[in-house]
Amino acid sequence: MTGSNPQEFLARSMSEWLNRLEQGARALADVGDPEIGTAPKTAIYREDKVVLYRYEPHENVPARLRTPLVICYALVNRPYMMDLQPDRSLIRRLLERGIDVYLIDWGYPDGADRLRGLEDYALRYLGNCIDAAAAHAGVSKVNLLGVCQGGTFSLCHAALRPERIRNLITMVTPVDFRTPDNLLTKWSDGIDIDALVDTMGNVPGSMLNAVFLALMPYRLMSQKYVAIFDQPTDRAALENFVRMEKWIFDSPDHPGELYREFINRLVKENRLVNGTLEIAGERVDLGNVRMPVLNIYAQRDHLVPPDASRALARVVGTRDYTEHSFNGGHIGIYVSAAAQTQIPTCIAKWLSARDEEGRARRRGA
Amino acid sequence: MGQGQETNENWAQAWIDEQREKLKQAQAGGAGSQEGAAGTESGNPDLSLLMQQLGDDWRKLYERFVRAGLPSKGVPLGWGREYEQAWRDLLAAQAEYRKLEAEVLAKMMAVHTDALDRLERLIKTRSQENRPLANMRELYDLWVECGEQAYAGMAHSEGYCRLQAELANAAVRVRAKQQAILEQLLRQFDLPTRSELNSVHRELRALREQLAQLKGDATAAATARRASVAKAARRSAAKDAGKKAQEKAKKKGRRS
Repeated sequence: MTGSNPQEFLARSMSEWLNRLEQGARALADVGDPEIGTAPKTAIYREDKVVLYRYEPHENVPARLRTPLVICYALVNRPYMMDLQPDRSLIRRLLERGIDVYLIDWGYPDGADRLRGLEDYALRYLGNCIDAAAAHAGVSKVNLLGVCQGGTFSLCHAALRPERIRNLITMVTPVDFRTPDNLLTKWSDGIDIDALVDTMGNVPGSMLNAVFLALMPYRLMSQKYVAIFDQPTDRAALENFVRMEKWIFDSPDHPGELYREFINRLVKENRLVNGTLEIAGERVDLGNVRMPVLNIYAQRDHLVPPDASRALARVVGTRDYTEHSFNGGHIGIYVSAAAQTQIPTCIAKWLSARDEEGRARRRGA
Repeated sequence: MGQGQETNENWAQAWIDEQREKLKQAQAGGAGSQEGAAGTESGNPDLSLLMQQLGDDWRKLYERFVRAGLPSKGVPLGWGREYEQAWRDLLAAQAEYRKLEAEVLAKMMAVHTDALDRLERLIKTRSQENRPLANMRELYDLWVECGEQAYAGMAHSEGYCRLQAELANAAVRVRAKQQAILEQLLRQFDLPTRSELNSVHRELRALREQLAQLKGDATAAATARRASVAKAARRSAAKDAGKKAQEKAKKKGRRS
């Protein structure tokens, strides 16, 4: 810029940039609505709005694990994040490794679900889905993979009904909700959750999204759009972007009572880690989680900070506890290129070792 | 009957005559009547229209109240008091929300200002290090970086967390007041309200729980019954086997 008029340089540079961004916006307009969640699957169990899917095993891969894997996702977003597109699909990568995969879809809760709480989701629905998957696979126990809030449900379930879970995997799961870096917790503290739920009923997904965006407003509300408009020639990148946008903003409303219990008891009072949480009158003691546990967390997770997940090591009852740290964020752990090999390989190896062990024990017995 | 008393009767009689005259005018379709009829036909429970129907003196009194700002300060009175109170509550909640929203916006403006200051310092440092910016995109990315740093400093602060929560609580109060008014209107038209639906959901949930309990009890009873029958059958079979063994032993004894 040396030697030129700063105003002229600024105007020229801005004009060039805006032209490029316009090209990007035009290219994005041509992308349309790409397909999402295309791995073939069959619904094998339904209850209210909850559906349990079983994914078709990979044709060319023999089943390597006898015990099926049930994935319990969060209610905050839709579970198709586990199978966003063929080359970004944790489910496809697990199927390729010979794992029999089942996925719980909580559906889109509406006014009829506003009174459903932890008892319904973490005990009844999850328990019934585990039973259905076990019956469908012809086994007595399943491996359970809980993701984010679904991981918290899975921990509660494993503590209260451990008899049907062979191995437990938690992924980006909050356990200690009061770590100093947890901004969501700080913001929740002064909010009158009872008044919120009494007034709103179900908590709108759009409202939760607004909160998530407010965690990093410059990046999430501006930079990511500028970044995608700035690479207009890459159609695959544009399609990926549209898929992610759809997933991020396809947010079901959160059942009111569940939200009340989750924020008041788990987030504000931190009852899961304190051992004071009760569901349906039963105390949730993580000391009762004695099956093998694999805890996967993301180092740069801005929603569930690593310490919030790592706290599990302090409170879980198992002697077979493994941690896996992923170098990425809360979303990258499902869809980034690195995650596509690292996470499914880690899960498959860990399960495989324990499935063998189970088999050997059964043979010995 | 004293003179004072007569005077009283006279002016009281004058007032009664005045009222009679107004009624006549109303029946004949006078201006006062039209005004009153408009108020009645609209069904508007506005206290001021009711006052107009009662007469000029009352209306004048009410206008004095209005000039003194009393209706919005005091407790609402009369037939429309619940409705008026609901609207007053909503307006107060909206005012509170707007005040807090302005405070949050002021904080955001401070963040934007801070972001620009940080950006300015960063660019100076880069110039000193002979690392000039290549284009607008680079400048933009640096601005985003500075913005997030400035925002994070504020977002984690106790004051902002408190303000953010107060704003959220105020928004909930606005929504609750809106709902209260909406429910009043829906009830007037005999349309279902959210409160009624919530009651139905609660009852439905209780019924489902009872049904699940009954199903569980029935299954347990059937299982117990099956177990009891099986036990009785086993006992009977064992008894029969014992008898047979005894008979066999007897026969054997006789033979020997």
